[in-house]
Amino acid sequence: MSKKRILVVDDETSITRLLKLNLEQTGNYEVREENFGARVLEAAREFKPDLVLLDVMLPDMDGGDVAAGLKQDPALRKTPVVFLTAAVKKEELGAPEGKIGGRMYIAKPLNVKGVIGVIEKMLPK
Amino acid sequence: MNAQQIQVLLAVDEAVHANLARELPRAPSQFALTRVGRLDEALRRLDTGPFDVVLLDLSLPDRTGLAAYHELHATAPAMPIVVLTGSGDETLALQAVREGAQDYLVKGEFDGKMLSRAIRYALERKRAEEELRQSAEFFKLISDNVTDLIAVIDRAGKRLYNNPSYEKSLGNASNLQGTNSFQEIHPDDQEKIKGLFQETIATGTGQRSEYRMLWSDGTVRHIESQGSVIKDASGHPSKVVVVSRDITERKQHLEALEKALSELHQAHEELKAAQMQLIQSERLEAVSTFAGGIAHEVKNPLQTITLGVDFLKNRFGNAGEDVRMVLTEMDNAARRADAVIRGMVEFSSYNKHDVKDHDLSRIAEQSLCSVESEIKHNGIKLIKDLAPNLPPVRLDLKTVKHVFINLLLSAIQAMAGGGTLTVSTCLKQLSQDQGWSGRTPGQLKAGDTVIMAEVEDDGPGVIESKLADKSERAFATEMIRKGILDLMVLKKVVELYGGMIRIINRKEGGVKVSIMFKAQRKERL
Repeated sequence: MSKKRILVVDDETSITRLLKLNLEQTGNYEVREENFGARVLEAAREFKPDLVLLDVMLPDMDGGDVAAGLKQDPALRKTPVVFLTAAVKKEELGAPEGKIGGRMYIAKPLNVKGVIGVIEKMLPK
Repeated sequence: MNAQQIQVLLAVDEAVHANLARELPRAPSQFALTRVGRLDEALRRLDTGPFDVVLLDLSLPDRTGLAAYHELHATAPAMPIVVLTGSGDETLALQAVREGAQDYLVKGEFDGKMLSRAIRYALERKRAEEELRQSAEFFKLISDNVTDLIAVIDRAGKRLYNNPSYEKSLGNASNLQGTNSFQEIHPDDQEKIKGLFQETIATGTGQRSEYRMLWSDGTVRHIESQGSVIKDASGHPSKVVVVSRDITERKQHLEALEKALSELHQAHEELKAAQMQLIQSERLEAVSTFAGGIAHEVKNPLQTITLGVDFLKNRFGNAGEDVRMVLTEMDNAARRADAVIRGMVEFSSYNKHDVKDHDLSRIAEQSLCSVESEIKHNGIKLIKDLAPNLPPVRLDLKTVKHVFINLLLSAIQAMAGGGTLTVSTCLKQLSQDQGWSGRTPGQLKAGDTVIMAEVEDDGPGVIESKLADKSERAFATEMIRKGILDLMVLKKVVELYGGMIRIINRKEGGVKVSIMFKAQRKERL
């Protein structure tokens, strides 16, 4: 079984690096990091990920806009995007993962087990 | 002319004069007599001379009968007149007396003694009459011209006299005579005033009173009255003079003034409260912005640590017990720090702190509503004892509700298999000896009156420690484990409002969490 390709987007390099290390340690994923919203589309076209983990609050671009850009590319249209967000209140949350505006999200703080759970659920079968 | 002598003008005919002349020399010499034979002359003499009394014959040649009297009386109304008639004309003489003549004498039936007595009595009577007239006129002048209401009432309360001022209130004053003076008093005041009246009659001392009266124009007026007693010859109170005035407008002005004053006070208080709330709101906003800023800065490094620990756990999980223990401790520490950060972020996310007066019982009620499904889901029995009419607590509703909900969730989760949740509020005074170590954080101290809410569960309780601080920390760790906000953050939030949270194990098992806020002191005006 080939490794699934995951594109991890967050402006914090230490977080993307540790996510990469954690995910790749399982032996099931190949991870590429990206820390700038503006470069995500290009990176995705090149890397052809099976799933994108995308921080909602990027300093240079809104995560939602980045996702919309991916949606417009015919090659990436069907690639699932999972948002990473810290700006979710407990009252709205109910659970550490769920949907915002119909999109899947994972609430920060992230733990590896939770992230892998969501990735496995969202990967195209 | 002797000044002591009484000047008598005799208006009599010749024959009478002759008779008089015979009689009068025997009379005392205090009389100075001037005789005229005709009325015309008498009138003329009165015009010039200072006479004290006139003896008027009703059968003078130029005027006869009452006409002579009328003419003379009209010319000199103040002059005492004694009329003189023939023996057949006594009716005429009586008529003259009725019309103001002082006395009469019948020709041929009097002597000098009688004459002089009649003259002196006439003078005396006229003087007394004049005095009476003047005093009556004086009284009438006062009574007619004051705006005060003056009434004279008999012992039974019947009106004997009302001055013209009553016209305005009860209609024509003369129609009031004989009517009951209490009938227009407002029904609610009648008993009081009747009682006062009886007291006045009994003691002889008038009193001041205030009451309402129904005027004939349909208005209700406020009246102020002063009663005074008139005593009869034997010294018993026989009448009461009541002087009253309408104080309705004065009362209205006073009331308007009092109302304005109290409104001013209220506005002042509201302004003061609003200012206090603004200051507190601004302070809280500054604190929460600060807390939020720091939390934001710490969040990402913390995330790096947790992801790092996750990585190490997976990589070195089999390396040995000691490595696993170190990683678990690190993991716990990071989670704990994260819970604090999350609490701070949540607190700061209420970016608009709106500090107002709130009822703690209502906040408890609303918070219970939010966790209703959790209570049901866990089969927990709820006992509610929320005190009504608690004094208000000045705080931000959202923040404190948030604290409440977290404490309720903590209690509910401590009784996952079912139990009894007790939520109560009360007003009480803190005392040193109620399990209260003497360490009083914030501004609360023994003796303070606090508004308190208590959340009790009958779960397993918290790890006991001699140090209250340590027990609370254990409780806090437990809350974090359950995914509830950090107690320490909640404590700090409550302390921002000058309140505090206290956690103790109940004797009967379970935990009691008390949140208390200092009761606001009533600001003095």
